[in-house]
Amino acid sequence: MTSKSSSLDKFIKFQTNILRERMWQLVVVSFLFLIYYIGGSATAVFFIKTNYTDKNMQQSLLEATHIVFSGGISAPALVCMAVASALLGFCYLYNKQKVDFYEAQPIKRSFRWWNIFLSGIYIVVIPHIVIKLIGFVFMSVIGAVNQFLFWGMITSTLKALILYTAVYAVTTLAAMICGNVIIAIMGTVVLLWWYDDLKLVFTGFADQMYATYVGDIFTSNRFNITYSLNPIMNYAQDYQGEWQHKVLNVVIAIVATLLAYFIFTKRKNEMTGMAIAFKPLRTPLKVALATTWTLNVTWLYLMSVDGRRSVGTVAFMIAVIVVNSIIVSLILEAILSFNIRACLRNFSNVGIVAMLSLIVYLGMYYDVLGYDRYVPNSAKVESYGLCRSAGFNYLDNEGNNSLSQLEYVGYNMKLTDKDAMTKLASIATANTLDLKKSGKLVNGYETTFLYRLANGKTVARQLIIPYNIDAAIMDQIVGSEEYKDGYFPHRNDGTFLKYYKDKQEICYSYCGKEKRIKNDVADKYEQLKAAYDKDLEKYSYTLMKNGTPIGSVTLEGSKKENYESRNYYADSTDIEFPVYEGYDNTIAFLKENDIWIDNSFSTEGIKKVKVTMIDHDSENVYGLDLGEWEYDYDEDGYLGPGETSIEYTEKDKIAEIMDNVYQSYGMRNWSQPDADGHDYYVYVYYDKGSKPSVQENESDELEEDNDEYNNDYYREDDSVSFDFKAGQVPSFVIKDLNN
Amino acid sequence: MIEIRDLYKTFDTGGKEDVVQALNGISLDINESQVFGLIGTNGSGKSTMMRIAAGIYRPDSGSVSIDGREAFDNLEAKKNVFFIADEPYYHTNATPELMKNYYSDIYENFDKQRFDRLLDDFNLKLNRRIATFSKGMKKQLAVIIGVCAGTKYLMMDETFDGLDPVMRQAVKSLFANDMETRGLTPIIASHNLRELEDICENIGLLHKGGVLMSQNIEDIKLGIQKIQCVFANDGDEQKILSGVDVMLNEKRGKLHTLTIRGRREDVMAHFNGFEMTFFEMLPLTLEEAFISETEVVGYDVKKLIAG
Repeated sequence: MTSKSSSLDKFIKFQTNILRERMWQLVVVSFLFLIYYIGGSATAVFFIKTNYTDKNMQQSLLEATHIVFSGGISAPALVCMAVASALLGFCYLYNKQKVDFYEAQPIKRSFRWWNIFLSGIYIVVIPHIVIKLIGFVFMSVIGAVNQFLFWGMITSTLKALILYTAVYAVTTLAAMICGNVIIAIMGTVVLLWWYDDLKLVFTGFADQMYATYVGDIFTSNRFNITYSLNPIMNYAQDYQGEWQHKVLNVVIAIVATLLAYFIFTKRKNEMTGMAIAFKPLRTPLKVALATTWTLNVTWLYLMSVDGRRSVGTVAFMIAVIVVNSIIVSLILEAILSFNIRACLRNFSNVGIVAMLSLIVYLGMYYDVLGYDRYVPNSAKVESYGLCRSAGFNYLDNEGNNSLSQLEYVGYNMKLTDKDAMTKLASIATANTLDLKKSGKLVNGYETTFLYRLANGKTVARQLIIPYNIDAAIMDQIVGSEEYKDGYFPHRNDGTFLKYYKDKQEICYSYCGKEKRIKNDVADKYEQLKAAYDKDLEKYSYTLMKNGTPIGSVTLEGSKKENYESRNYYADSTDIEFPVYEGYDNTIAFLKENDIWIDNSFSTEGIKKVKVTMIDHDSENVYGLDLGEWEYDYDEDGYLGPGETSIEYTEKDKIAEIMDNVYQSYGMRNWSQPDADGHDYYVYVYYDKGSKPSVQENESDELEEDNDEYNNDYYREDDSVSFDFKAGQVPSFVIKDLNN
Repeated sequence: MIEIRDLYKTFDTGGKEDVVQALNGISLDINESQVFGLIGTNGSGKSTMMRIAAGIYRPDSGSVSIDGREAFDNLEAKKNVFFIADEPYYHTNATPELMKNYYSDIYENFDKQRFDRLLDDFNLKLNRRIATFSKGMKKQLAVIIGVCAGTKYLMMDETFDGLDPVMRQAVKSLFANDMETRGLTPIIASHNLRELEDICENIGLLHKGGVLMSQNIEDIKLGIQKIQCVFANDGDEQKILSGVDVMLNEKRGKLHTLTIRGRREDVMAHFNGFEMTFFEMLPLTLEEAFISETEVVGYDVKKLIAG
């Protein structure tokens, strides 16, 4: 017999023995897959055939196939199986009897380890693939499969099995580090989630302590693909089919496996039962865990102080950190020793934990690394983006209505006027730092700056452009074609036109009224676009600051159910064109197509008008976020600090007010308070039965007094909100409110 | 041959006494085809030493070589060693037959037929679940497996302590047969000296991680003599005893019970030169020899005898 065949013989014999010992696991796993893939498919098919008509049946069957075979439902089960499989395979290391039994045998330790490791993978992977394939064949026999679903099944299986292997490897690593199964389970959780937890904590800290921080780590940040050291997060974030997440999970699997094996070779068998099997790792791990835990708790306290900056706050937080360091260290020591009395052991770790936590907190509080001061050298920047809330719908490449404005700007706005942008960024950064220092209310335009760096990374900062910014700089930037390309959704309407071809209409709406074009919509849309782009030649910061919106035009469309793409659900959305006074071409288009709505306001039936003034310099306001106010109640609703209200019932005053307002759901994106730092809001209350009807033309969707939440026209208290046109607040209103 | 040289081993308890010194520079030789007894109280280092020899633990320093090969993770060395732990492990729901098949895959020379025969001789059922066996039966099974594995060295950690006298005798016969036919070397660790006395040829006594003594039993006995005597005159005791190496001298009235190091003939010749009121040489048990050897170094070996 050759040595090769005897090695193979040995391998087969050994695997047979392992399989004999782990047979029950194989049975359980196979049973679960049978229930899910075969049972689930059969149940779905039975339900569909019983309850659906022939017209809907085919689509429903395809949908069922997609859900069962390409959906992510099996992922949590696979994660649990991976953890269980690793721990069950290597649990012999936690039992002295078993260690004596196995380690005394004439079998190389490395041979045993790799064979056990391998068995933990195939014991799940093979039944998963086989049973899934059987189920898929069953579905294809009844015609519930197409080419896309087939490839979807292949890619989702590959993705899931990579996830399984990665989690399995990480759990094996935990099993090698730890000396008993309970600590190994905890260790697995720590190894999987430490990176994301720390990321969450640090972004939480940044959110609370950096004035320029741009949050939202959980939304898709597709121009900076988010990676994690947690294979579960990589799996979850891989919904666009990027290869990077899969490759990263493969790398995690390989690195974790090699690390686990290395630790195994150094691990002492007599460490059975100890929480952490390696003495050299014990203190660093305890300190790292305790510090992470302390930072998590500190974050909760940070949220309670809510961004306040004062000596008192700092003193309070230091005390919180020190006390938590002590408590956390004691608890951790007790847990790892399985002995409450052991909590005072290694008390010196407390000092290290407290010190590390304080370094993080104070370092971020005083912005030691200069996060808030960051303005990149223009030579290092390829292009810029500028994002100020627009309220448009933005679509991703798959036609999903889920792209944030920031992402849209990230993809489409590439400002290359580096001088202007660097100047603007510097002014805004300085202003933001001043506000942060003073603790005053936001007094400027909250804007997100994107710096697209030459190294491929995109950095974002939330800055406050002061109201007294030089209009020339702003006009230069906002009036550029680059800005418009990254702001207006119609400039990138390819995805909309591809996916939302059904039920297209053009609608002009103003003050709750709307009129529609329902025929030749495609041609009309092109005409609208041409007219609108002509008007956009006037588009500028100055126009947006002082101009008056007079409603908006939208192209609406619906998405047909289509199983030829990844999107299986019908949806509808629109492309919006806000209209301003002076948009002559657009107005002409509206009039030519008979959908123009008169934008004057009648005073008939108005019971009273309430004007509310917000004083941005009020001392009662703290922090940088308006949303953090505490509100008082008055008879008509809420009044925040710095707010005053007055009501008018005199007809002449009401008339003068209504001559100077516009309906406020339009976007005046660069509007600002008046020279004295005041914002005004106008609420109009009508006599019963006098409220204008919402619709002028026929529509089966809107009725009078319809759902306020879908109609910006009416507020909860049934008033109608307006804004004053720029610089046109009546003098009597100013006088009355200031008295 | 198993050669143990300057073996050190510490354990980290994670407690106040962070490190326990289990073995403190042990050096020992275990010859082939002889029954070696390893005796010591709890915590003396017997099990640790056995586990290092069996390749379960890695020593901190020093070496254990089995027929010239390092023990730890060495396939060729471990093929010659079968280790039976104080609490032998069997697979969940295993039967003797399953364990037989399992071990036959691991040990090339495993004798399946002999296993079946021995099982029958010892009245153990081939297809009965081991979980239903008593503690003693499990140990019997372990010994049978160990003998049938066909290895050169059979290490048993406190295995004998759980066997009844009849079984012990049967096992001794097994050992005797295998030692003669294939050169088996049993190594038995125990904390009960009386159990080992009639089976072991060589004894190693461990105490606090060190070796107090390691000798052939017969040599131990041959080198120590037990005498009861009454001296004719009061002053004779000092004169007579000054010429011999007295290990212990117990006095009850005028009767002296002496333990003297030396060969029988030499001691006899010395006392024959003096007039004694009463003189008798008594047979020495192993425990008496041990007591004598160890009390000299201040160690109370009676704990071992009590078992």
